[in-house]
Amino acid sequence: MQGLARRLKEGGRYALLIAVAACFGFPLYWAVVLSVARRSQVFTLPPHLLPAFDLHPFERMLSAQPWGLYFLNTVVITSVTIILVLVTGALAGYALALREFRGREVVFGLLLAALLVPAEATLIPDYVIAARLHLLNTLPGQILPFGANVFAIFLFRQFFKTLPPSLWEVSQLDRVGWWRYLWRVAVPMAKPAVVTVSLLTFATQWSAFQWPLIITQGPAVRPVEVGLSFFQGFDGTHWREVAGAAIFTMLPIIVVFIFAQRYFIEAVAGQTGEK
Amino acid sequence: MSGLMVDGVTKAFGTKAAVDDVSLEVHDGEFAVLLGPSGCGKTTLLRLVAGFERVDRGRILLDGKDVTASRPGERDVAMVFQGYALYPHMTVFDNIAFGLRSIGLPKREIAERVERVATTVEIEGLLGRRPGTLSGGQRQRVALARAISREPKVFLMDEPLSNLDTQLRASMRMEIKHLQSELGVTVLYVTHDQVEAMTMGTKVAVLCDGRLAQVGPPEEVYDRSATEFVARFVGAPPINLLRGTLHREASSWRFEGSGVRIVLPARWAGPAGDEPRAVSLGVRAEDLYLGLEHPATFVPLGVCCAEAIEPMGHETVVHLSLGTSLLAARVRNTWRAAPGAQVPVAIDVEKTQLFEADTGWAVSVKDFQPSSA
Amino acid sequence: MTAVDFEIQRTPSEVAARDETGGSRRSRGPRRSHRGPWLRDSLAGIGLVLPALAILGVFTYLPALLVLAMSFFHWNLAGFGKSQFAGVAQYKALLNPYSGFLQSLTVTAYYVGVMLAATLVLGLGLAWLLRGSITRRTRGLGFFRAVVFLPYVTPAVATSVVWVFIFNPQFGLANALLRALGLPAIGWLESSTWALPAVMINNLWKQLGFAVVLFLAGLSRIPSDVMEAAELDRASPSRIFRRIVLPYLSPVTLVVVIITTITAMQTFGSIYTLTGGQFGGGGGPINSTTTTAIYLYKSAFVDFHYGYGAAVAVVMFVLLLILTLVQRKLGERYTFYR
Repeated sequence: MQGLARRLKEGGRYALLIAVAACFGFPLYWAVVLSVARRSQVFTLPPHLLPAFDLHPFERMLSAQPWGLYFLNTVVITSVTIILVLVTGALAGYALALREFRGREVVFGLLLAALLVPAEATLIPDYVIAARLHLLNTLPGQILPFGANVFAIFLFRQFFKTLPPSLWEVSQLDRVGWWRYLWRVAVPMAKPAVVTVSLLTFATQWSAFQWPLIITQGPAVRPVEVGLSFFQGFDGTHWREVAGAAIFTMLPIIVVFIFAQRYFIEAVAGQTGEK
Repeated sequence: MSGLMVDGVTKAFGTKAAVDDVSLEVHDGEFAVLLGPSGCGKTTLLRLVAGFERVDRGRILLDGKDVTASRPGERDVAMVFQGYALYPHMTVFDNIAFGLRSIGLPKREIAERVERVATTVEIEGLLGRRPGTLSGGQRQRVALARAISREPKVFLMDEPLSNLDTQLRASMRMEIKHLQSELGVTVLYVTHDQVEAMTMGTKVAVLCDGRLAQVGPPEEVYDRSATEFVARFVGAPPINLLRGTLHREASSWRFEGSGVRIVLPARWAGPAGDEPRAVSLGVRAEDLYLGLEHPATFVPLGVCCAEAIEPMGHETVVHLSLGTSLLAARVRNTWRAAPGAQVPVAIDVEKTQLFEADTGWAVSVKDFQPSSA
Repeated sequence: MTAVDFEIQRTPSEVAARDETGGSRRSRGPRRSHRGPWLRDSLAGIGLVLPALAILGVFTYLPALLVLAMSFFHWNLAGFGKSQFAGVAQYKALLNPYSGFLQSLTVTAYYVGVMLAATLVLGLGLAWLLRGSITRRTRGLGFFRAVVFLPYVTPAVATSVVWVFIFNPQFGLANALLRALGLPAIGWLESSTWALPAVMINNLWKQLGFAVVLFLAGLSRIPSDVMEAAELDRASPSRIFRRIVLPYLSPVTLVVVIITTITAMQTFGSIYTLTGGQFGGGGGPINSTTTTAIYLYKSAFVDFHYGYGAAVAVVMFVLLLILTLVQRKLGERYTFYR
């Protein structure tokens, strides 16, 4: 009897899990269905829920906008930002963790203070500064403001602090300078930090919208999400093409997520100090 | 002068002196062991020699050159750490080669050298592996290979065997010793294990509370300990100590106390004056004889009660009580008695040691005093 | 001072000499295993944090000060010199009911409040459903977790574009579902009543995964022996949940509350995309989705009132700061098992 009750409970749990998965998975699924639907299947009641594999909307979508350029822009912005955040984070994290210098506490306090400033609050002066530095409508303008990340710095600091001191001592005896030690020993050993910082920066920069929306004007340096936004606003009737474009712009993140799901989740949880 | 010279070195953390005015010479090709309990300052001294800590006072010379102010990398020493300090993300080959690359050796020579040292410590088959996949003993060998590869003036070893199990430790002991004499290198070796000190060192320096208590060949430290502390620290089971007083006889000395009264040979210079002095009489476990037919140099001590009998396999340790004192005797494994048995005990007076009760210094070596008297 | 240190480190005999007279000089902390000259160390240390500080300086610290200054000017792009000083006029204007700022605060409060409550309840519920058990393995749990979490990492604009279709009054899925249930269809994004709830549904779908991940982490840290002991005592599931699970989760809950609040207050991309941002900065019918973040954007980058927008930013900054601090303070009092 007890076995039956347990099985019922288990079955109920699965039913619930499947319902939840359906809720969360459906919008993306429907976007796929829309993007490959036949013209006659879009504006119908009830909505069509099975894919028809008509690739014409995709073709039209791809030729309607310079997506290749947008993609290239986003790839450049994202990858350069990742490298910048890693380098500035590792350098500062190393200094805060393993070096003693005057003003270290001040630097620490400054970094903590930066955490309290929401991006929204500095939006306007950031725009003004970007204008003064001739960063409007450029790729560097979309990279530099995100090139240093307090979270990345603290994460590297935390990892570097847990490195056995004897490793640095051995390196010293071997005349390995701190620069080489940092990049050849400390950073490789902080691989989880590198992965976390890279994934989070990737996700935020790939999705970046408000800042590029404000500072870009033409298609030349426009990233994919802004491109998508303009594509959507262009005309309200091309559902299939817009859905295709949406899928298209989020595909890289979904692919990375599928392969690095565990790291992604750990990164997001770790971001708040909750592991 | 080649080798290592530590000259009046002092190092304090806060107000506590971790190393207090220590002077020590390690000659070229010598295997010197820094021995002492934890917290005695031996590791600090080693780190001062390596340059990881700054000397408060005194000098450190390597091959006659003052390196007190030099950075660790400028000193040409290599160190083997307790935890091996291998780079976990590098292969064994890279672990050894990493330091060699930074001194600008050509690639070919690095590869040759790595091969050579790997052969020396018999890890040539492991060069492609990472430390995480190696056993403790193998990691130890890699750490050794890395130290050797640099061909430094002095090897510093900080309890390198303490992470290994007993059997492996015994074989690595011999191997390190063998390696050292084969390569003819100078070693400063830190340990709290007196067996390591006795078996490996050509010179043993015993540290106590940051000060050197005794420096000498291992036999000397064992047989003629400079202080009661040293006598107790080396040897297992620990030396037997009987409290009592020393009286002057016509041409010899008489020890009385702990229910014992024995005449000692006139081998001690002895304290000045005829006043009886409070002392401890030290005798090692193997210098006690259980039974009546004791050898000629032995004198009877009395009849003791066998409290506990510990067979160790190759020998047996018998714990005896004599009045309020407890004694440990080391006898052959064929020796038999039931616990509680009354056993006649004799003592080898030639091997006894005397320590002043108030200072702990050996009576026999009064001229040798801890450096900061 | 640094120069003196430099000298002394170079000549140990002087160190000794100074020791005798000036008392014992101690090493600068036992972790200091590197005895390079002090000045050089300091320069190297500062040099290492400099790249990060420079970027933060230009794009965070300086703007934080500038925004405050700008809020007192009728600021234009020509700079402070060419801008008219406004005093607190713009702050006064914020309080004017016709400016729309107060309405944006109401909208924000509504949005943040619902998001917070829903995130806590649904997030914890989902985490409870998705939790693993050491004794019984649930197959496919990793898959279900991934599905719930995936929307969180996808770009807000891309997913909101899809939700626009879902909320389409005629052909969207949302109304199809309502009709199937026999309920009346809703105008959704075209209705001033339902536009904001539509945004909430979109963003709950997108962001719940984050809270779930945190709650799962919290649940996994409840020692299994505590749970087992409670089960052996035959405590009822609801009692276990209230007396053991919730107290253990309180630190995680605090983090979820703070982050959800901050994220909700700054939400931009989804509102912009869902409620017609492309037609004039977003904001929904009768400004029904004009949160303070959208209001700020519209003031500065649609109407080009930079100074006024700066005043909005300052108020928003202060509000966020107060909220975070209050939540932390409350958290300290009511959080257990830190």
